[in-house]
Amino acid sequence: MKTVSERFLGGEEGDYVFKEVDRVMLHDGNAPLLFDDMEGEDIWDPEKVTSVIDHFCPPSTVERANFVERLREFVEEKGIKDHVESGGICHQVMCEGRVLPGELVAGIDSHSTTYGALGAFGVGFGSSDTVEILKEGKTWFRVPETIRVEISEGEDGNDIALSMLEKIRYEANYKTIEFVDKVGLNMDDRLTIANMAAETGAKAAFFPPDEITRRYLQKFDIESDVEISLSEKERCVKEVNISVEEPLVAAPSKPYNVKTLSKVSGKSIDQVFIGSCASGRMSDLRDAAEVLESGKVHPDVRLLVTPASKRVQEKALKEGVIEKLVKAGAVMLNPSCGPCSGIDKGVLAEGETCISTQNRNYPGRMGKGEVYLANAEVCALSAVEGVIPEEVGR
Amino acid sequence: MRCRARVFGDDVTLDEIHPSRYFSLDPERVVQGLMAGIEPRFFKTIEDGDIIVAGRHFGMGSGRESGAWAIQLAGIKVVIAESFSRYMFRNCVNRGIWPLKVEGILDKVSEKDPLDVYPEKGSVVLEDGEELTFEPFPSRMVKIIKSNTGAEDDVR
Repeated sequence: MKTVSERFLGGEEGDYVFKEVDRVMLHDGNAPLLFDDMEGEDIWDPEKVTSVIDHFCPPSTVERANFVERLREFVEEKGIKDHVESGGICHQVMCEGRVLPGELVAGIDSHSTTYGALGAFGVGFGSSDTVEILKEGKTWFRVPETIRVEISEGEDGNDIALSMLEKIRYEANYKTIEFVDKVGLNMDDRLTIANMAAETGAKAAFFPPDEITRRYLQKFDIESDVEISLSEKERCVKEVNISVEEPLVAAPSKPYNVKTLSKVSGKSIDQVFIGSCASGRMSDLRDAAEVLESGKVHPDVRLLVTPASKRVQEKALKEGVIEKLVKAGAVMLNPSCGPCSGIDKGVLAEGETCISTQNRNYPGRMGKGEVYLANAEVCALSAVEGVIPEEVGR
Repeated sequence: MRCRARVFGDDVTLDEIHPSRYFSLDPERVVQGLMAGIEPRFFKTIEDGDIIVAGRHFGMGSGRESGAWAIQLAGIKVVIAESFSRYMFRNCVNRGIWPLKVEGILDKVSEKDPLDVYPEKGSVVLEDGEELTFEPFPSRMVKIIKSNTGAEDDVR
């Protein structure tokens, strides 16, 4: 039987294949590098391309304002109709009624693995590769091997993702991770896990579409009956079981430098960030609001919160979640990439420490300081206590 | 090809190879960011024939192509590593840089050691004459790398 990767890409494991893609995602953070190469070239099918402004949103320098303006001109000139500005982070935008189960999606971003949460095959590309994809609608792939990850216990997507990172580290480079969800995780958590699979080096991550996927898509008036079963165990090069019983934290400065919460508790915190394409969804904002309902942000801490998309922001407003966050002292940023990669508001000074729900804590990722990674509840409690807490009240 | 090794370690991330604050379309600015997360003025020290030598997982993390572009702009034609991130590998190929996967290279080469590199043959010859081999690229990939090499890209 074919593996999931063989089914999506054709060919057999290890082969180099040319394959048509079903959909392309562009964003302002990487698209500027392809404008010159696309000069005078047509896009093979502009209907299949989505453009998102989320990195420089709104831009903080004239050079970046020019990138954004050039992207607006580019979509106009090339006939791309699906252009989203100030609507949220690209991967969340793509997963709000665009990406469908069974699709092969090329994104100009390393976290394109996120689309696997919906039973699609999301693969990231650099700008030169994306030029070829935009022109031809296809590119070359090496058909990857498979790692099977069975999730047998755990409540929070960030914790499950950190446990996966602790166990796989970077050893999924060039491979596909397939998930067996025995818990019945909600879509927010699946999106977090598929997103953070990028940190294992994985080319793609995949949750087989099920009832949870179908119910999620129905919110966007999409009915999907696509069924794709997991690869057979015998065809997987590695099997990992995940069972998370307590919150986990990745210490600086690798996402797989994972410790239990108690091992890092007491660490003094200057900034807390709840957001990025790994988080900032309703379940994360609700978790944070629940903590902050009975506490205030510590006077020595800045708490920055970014809803993943405009849709999430509106829902959080309606539910009163944002009111709770703001009253407790949170700074609300607009739906965008924010401080995660150190390109927008919220970079760290030398010697500062941040705890964040984001996916990366590499040296220099958020300016000069150090970054710890954790779930929204741990982050919110850190904002209240001014230090990484000993335990959470779950 | 006569080269001089500029040596880095394991797990060098793209955020170190090219910090996001150097993201720009101005080649002068982009090249200044090369390796700035590890050695802020690295680009000033590059000489003709310099290549990057690194350990496992070179380029892990972000897929920003500005990293490979900065290597290209610095006139570096070869990166030898024990392994590459998928993004760094593809971006190098597309920027006319040879991403050579050579087992054990980090233990055998020190900063500024001379070495002879034969990318198409699949061979690296160290100063003491020891030869390390690697699997040569398929001809289609060689063609892509060669068609993307441009001497005019060197802005040092």
